[in-house]
Amino acid sequence: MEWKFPDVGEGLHEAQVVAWHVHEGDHVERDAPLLDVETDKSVVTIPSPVAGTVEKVLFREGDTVHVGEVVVVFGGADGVASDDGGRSSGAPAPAAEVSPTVDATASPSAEPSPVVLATPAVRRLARELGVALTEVRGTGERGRVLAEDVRRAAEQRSEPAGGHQPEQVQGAPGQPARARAETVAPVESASETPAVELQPADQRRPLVGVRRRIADNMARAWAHAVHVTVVEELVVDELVALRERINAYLAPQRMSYLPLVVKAVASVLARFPEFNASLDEEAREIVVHAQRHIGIAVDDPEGLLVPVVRDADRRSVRELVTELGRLIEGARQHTLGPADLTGSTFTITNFGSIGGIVATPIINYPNVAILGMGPIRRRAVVRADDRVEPASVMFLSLTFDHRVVDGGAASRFLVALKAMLENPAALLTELV
Amino acid sequence: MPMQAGSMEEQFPLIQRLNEDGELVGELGIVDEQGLVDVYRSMVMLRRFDERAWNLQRQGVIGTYAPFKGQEAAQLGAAYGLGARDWLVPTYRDWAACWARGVPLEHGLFFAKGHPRMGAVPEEARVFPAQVVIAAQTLHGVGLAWSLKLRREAAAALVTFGDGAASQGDTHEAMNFGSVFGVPLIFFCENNHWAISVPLERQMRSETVAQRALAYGMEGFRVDGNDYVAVVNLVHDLAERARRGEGPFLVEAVTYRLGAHTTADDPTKYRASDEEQRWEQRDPIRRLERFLLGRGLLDDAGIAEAEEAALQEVEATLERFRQALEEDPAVLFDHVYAELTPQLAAQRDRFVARAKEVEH
Repeated sequence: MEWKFPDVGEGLHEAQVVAWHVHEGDHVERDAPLLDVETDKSVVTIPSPVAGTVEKVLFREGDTVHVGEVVVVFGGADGVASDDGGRSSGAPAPAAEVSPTVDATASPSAEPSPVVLATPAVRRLARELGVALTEVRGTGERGRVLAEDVRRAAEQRSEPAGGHQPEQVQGAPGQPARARAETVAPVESASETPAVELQPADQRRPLVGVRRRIADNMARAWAHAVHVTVVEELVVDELVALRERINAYLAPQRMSYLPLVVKAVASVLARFPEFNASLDEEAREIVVHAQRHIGIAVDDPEGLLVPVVRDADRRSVRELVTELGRLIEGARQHTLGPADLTGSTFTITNFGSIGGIVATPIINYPNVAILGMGPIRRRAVVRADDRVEPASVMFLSLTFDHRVVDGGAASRFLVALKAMLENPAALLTELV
Repeated sequence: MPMQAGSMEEQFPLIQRLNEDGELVGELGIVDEQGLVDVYRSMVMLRRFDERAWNLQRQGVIGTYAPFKGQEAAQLGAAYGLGARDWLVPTYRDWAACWARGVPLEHGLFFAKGHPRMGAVPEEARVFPAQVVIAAQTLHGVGLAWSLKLRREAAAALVTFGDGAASQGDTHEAMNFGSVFGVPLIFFCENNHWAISVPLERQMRSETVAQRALAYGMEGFRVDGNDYVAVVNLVHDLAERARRGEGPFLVEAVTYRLGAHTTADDPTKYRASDEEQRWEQRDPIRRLERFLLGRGLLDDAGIAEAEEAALQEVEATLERFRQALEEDPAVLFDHVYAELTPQLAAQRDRFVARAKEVEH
């Protein structure tokens, strides 16, 4: 029995295979986990529709699967009667082997690639004018294709070189949509559209899953917050020495600088509560958080994650070492739940662990500020008596939302943090 | 002017007869112990059905499905509290209540499949087709109850709606209209605390849903919606009073949606898992099970037997569902009007003729 990918959401076109729970040759019970897919909304576990042997697995982890495509073939299924033979509900049933591109060609009414945003009325207009939506550059919100965009595309197409004959637009419905739809193939779409030109070797892939979530979050932060970054230089010889001593004490456990920075930030936030805040735009209110939950940006091949250390101010350095270890490992293993991934009140990103001296981090919206840690490097430093000598130096970047706080406050925040990290004995006063 | 703190929760205290630990803290009232064993078995079966329906959506057999996991006691209490001549006006999440009134359980699957047979509600069940438009059924409930009054029928109606629907204009209009005309209706709010992803405190500023009854000059009640004994007794009393012309009433059944809003929703995105865990302690099935175990009315063998019977009943339900999938597509015309209008009859003929053409 062939099992075709159904619409596991509501009006879903495709999803990404995240993980298989079975391998070819395995026996699987009905309703036992078969695979996980990620839609634009969530990761969904699909239970096996039948009990039987998994004969063939047609998509690998990371692949994008479209609704209607055969995902898995079962053999010796003894529970075939338990579903309706793979008839997918509410979904068109495209012929088995058509690729998505050919699919659009096969049926003039088929929806184009789902990444195109357009209202049903605009989609209809596009069909009537024989315009493939994937070719049209949308000028609406978030690239939404508007009716005027479709008309413009139709007009440009019907324009002979140099000429301008808008009347022909009216004649466009006569042009078979079928013929137009063929140009969905990316290589052919380059000539007329002002969108990204595609060369034959170029690839297009849909913006889905984690990547899409990051894209949306970043765009939202960028569109809303007024970002300003202020940078300060820290001479951290004492911090370096302290960490070495702590590590000798903790051995064989080792810690990075992050727990100390988290500790210092949590402490300084007590004096600058407006940096431990969020802006509730809807209510037009600034929410100053009582608790200090510090988000930590974690780099991962699949995309950035921001696990959250809850009540960082109420944890000892030793506890922070353990908690940060758990969160960072969990983020990389994708085992963290929403409780660990939401609710930050301030964020730290340690870009310096890879490279780059100074960065301008984007706020973890709707937080008010984010701190970026640069690498600690040996540099020449001018001392108070004008002596120049080598020292360990780190740059800290503080990006803040200028709608909520001003530059003066941001500088004072950064100076307070600098004072604490340059003279880490001050951290002792924060022991809990 | 602000109310005194806590006054509304005090004025509408939570009515409870069977507490979270399965201890009887009130009278059994209209139910007897053996009857509770049957209710327990029904709840287990309904839970298994609900879980299976979720999987059927994931497997591509049905479309979007709204699970009722956690709301079994509220729904069965509401349905069994009504009399045989009373009416139920349900939403899309009320398959347990519909089933208790005599609507075959596969109707939940028909609804999710878009199968026309969902319109074939058995007449004797006295149940309206499930409403998917949020709160629209509150108006239908008022209309139905008003007609019962005008026809002097000794019958009441109960309309279900969620906490989200309680914020809709339709619900307020229905309550106003219903109370002005004194209709024999129970507004039964299954307050499951979440309107998709919107928590109750973002739905309303009032402490309770029940207190809204004050504004409409009705009596309002707040009942533990996970306590079958309390719900069924309350609804039974109110239905009787409604039939005597004392309605309408507002009941807030305080319960919790243990699962997702629908198969298209992922609650881990917006609510903390410890909240779910807290409510799992108040699970209506678990509570009844503890009570029955404590009374010696149920033992491990009885629990296992209930599970086995549940699986068989779910299989039988699915079998009836599958058979309905083989039905002639012309069933499309069968269950909306008692008699086809001339236009629909003509459409039906064209449909049948075209279907034959396509076959060739």
